[in-house]
Amino acid sequence: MAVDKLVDSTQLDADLTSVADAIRTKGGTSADLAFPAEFVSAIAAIPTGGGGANLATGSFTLSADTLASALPAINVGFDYSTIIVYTNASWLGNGKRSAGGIFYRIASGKTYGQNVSTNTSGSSANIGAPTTSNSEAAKINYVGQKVGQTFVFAGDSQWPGYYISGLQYFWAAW
Amino acid sequence: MRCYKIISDGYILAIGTGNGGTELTEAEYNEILSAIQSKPPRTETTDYRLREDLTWEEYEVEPPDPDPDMDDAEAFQYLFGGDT
Repeated sequence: MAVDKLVDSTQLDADLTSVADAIRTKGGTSADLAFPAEFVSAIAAIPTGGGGANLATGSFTLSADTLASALPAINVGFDYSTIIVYTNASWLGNGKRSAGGIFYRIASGKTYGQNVSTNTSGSSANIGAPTTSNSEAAKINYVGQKVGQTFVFAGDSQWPGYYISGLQYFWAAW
Repeated sequence: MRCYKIISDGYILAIGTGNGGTELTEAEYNEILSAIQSKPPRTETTDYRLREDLTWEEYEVEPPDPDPDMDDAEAFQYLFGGDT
């Protein structure tokens, strides 16, 4: 190797040590690192994504008032520990606007028309219970915790003559 | 962000993000969302459904039942009451 530059070796060592310290801090290691090969491999070994919990999110918007029997079941398709749902819908009973309520329910691996277990105590609760008796759309924020369940947002086919209006929901689960 | 649409009998039933349905580009999703937000208002005898070409098709609906068999509170209790 030809010499083409004079360097301050003390400063160079300090600079390389500074870089190596940063690599060790980020990667959570303490071993010495030989420049450059072990610098490169240590950087490559640093985990990406912050190592946090997996987060899945989604949303759903109906195009128009829809017969209850025509609502699709949407399989969220993951196991989760916590899920939050925000939803907004109006219930058109028998072709007319009526009491507001949340139509969609989170069904644990189930299909139309079945109740669900949705809270940490293990007892059942249905998100679909109305929270208002007037004609305004009801809003609800729900937090449920059920480990190891795959959730399906499902409609209900028991009332084929009923329409759902303005259904839109947003969910996040991890 | 994965976007999708749900088609039923040649009509766009819904759109969403996440899993499910037929995948869309974000531009296609926004175009359909814009169409949904421009839906003509429903009346007592007519409503509209969204075709795949993003035009609204008018169709007739039954007028409201003035004397339903069950009131709304009873309907909700029937649908959502009880435990698994």
